Amino acid sequence: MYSKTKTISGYGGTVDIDATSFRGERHSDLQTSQKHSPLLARGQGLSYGDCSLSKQVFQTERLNRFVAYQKETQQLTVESGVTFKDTLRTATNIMLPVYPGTVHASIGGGVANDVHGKNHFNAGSLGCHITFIELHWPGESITVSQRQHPELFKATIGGLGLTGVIGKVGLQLQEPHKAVTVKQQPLATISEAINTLVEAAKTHRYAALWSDWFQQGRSILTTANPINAPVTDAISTGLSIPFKPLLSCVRPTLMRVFNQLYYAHQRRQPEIIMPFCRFNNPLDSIKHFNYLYGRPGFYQFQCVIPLAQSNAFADFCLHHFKQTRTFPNLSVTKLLGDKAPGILSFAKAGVSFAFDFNATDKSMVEYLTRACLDFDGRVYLAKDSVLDKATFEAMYPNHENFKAVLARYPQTKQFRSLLSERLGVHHD
Amino acid sequence: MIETWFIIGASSQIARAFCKELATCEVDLVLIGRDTEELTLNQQDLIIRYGLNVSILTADLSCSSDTDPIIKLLQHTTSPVNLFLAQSVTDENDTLTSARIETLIQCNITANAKLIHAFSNHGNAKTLVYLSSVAGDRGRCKNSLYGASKAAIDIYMEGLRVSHPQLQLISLKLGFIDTRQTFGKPGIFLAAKPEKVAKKIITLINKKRISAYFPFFWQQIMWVIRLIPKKLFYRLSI
Repeated sequence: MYSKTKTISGYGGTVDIDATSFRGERHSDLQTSQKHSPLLARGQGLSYGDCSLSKQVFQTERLNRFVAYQKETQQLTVESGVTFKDTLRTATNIMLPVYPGTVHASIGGGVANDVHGKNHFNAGSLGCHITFIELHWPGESITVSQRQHPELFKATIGGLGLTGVIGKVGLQLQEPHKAVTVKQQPLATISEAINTLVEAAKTHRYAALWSDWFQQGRSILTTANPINAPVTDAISTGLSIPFKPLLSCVRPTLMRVFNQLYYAHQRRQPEIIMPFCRFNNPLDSIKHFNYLYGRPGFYQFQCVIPLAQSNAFADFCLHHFKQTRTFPNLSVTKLLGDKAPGILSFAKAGVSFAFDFNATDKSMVEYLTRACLDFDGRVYLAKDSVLDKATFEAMYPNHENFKAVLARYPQTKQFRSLLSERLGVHHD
Repeated sequence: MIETWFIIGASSQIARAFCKELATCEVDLVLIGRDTEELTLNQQDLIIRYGLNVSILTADLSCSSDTDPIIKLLQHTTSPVNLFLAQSVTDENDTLTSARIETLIQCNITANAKLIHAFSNHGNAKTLVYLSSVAGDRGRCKNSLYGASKAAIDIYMEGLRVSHPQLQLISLKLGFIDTRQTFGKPGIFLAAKPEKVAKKIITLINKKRISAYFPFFWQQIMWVIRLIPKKLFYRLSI
């Protein structure tokens, strides 16, 4: 098996590494790659920080086949390189219960980060719908599920690829709906927006807030319910950012105006029927959206704060943004439920705040990362690249349990990432 | 009537990409290759993704007896048949042994020639796609036996185009393609994605073309290389 040395980075582009990469093309390559240590499986490389980076990576993008589908039981088995987008384009008309913010991500990556969607408050995270995972270690493969090796199963969901290379994933599907009815509701302040989001979640399948922090956190609440209507597939508009400019094109002045225009446009939108993807993944319509931030890249800070503290955290953020005159370029707020089966899963009951910042605003991301701990919050490891070990351990009290599971399986020793080394979360 | 495509070497990335391109047409597929596990995975993928009718046949073309079942299946197919030949042994001269030479000639020449012969005598044959190589244009010191095997089939097909003008016999001369054989290999440049090769083949079929180089710049490169006088060529280690 040949390898290629190249510089790889996360979606945010703020961390990179010269890595030796191996690419799987046949199922047997999952075993061949295991000769190399340290190793980490890497799908589409769409996690923002450094959790998909390692000195040696095994690329799974060509291990992207649908393996089995049972219509009666609605069970699907896929190779880990299948993307969420692939599942929306099959002749068999299937749909997963959870789609993350980008459908270009691989399902293996989705499992490793236990991704959630705009329906977490009722559907839970992706891990809630996994029936089994086929893991590959040096010289052997193992199937884990709620019945077989349940502890390792829970460690693999949201386990950042540190328990082995995921070969196949079994998923429980939901009734497909390719269209949704979407309603927009303008809200003057962030507190009002959060309260309305909580109420809206009781009667809607999907709900999320877009907020303009340049303007006191005024928001647009977008809610959606599934509907059976004929719609044309619209994942991409054909727009593509052709290259990474030297400097970021995303400037605060520009974003202030963009946010104002977006608010003015969206508040007048009537209730409409649209393809699920256009509602769930608006940024996927622009290919290489992250290139807009140029070579310096950008940070996405995402944390979850318990509901009781969420308004206080929002006020705290607003105050700090004003004080430092640094505002997030884009912001999405979601309501999370308590269903997330992984030991290191991000989701817990509360409100999730996501802010995009330019690479120059690293100190802001570091400040928010530390501050959210005071509000009993925790940051999403798929987005993180600034967390330190002590703060991580305080945010994720189950980390010892995770390490204990790794210790019980010495075969996991070789799986490491830059994130695992930074946070000391791998097999010792 | 639904056409049948016989895909030989169906585990390769180019064959996979080509099957996906075919999925937009109404076709039945027969995937043929050495690795049953890979064939089954590719079969299920095509069924679930595209709802195609796909069957598989495990055969190792470097084994002389394995070609006959394919030929029998081909002869017994009454629907219009098409053949896609993507398998080859790519051994370099340095690694050759008597056994490997036999394997290379069996797989790259004997098996392909038998299949093409059976195809051209099928009463309902339509299109044949043969993945040739730029190595067949001139004897490189690195892999001249492999190149010779590709050239042999190219020449055979050239003659068939005269005797069987009703058939579309496509020979696509490939330069570097981004596959498991080339990924990370030293000296590889501008390797094209298998998906682009597949799209090119569909274009050739639709435009009724019979040969092309891919990526396109290999036509110019090979034109220059063919022009090099023998005396000079023998001194170069291209």
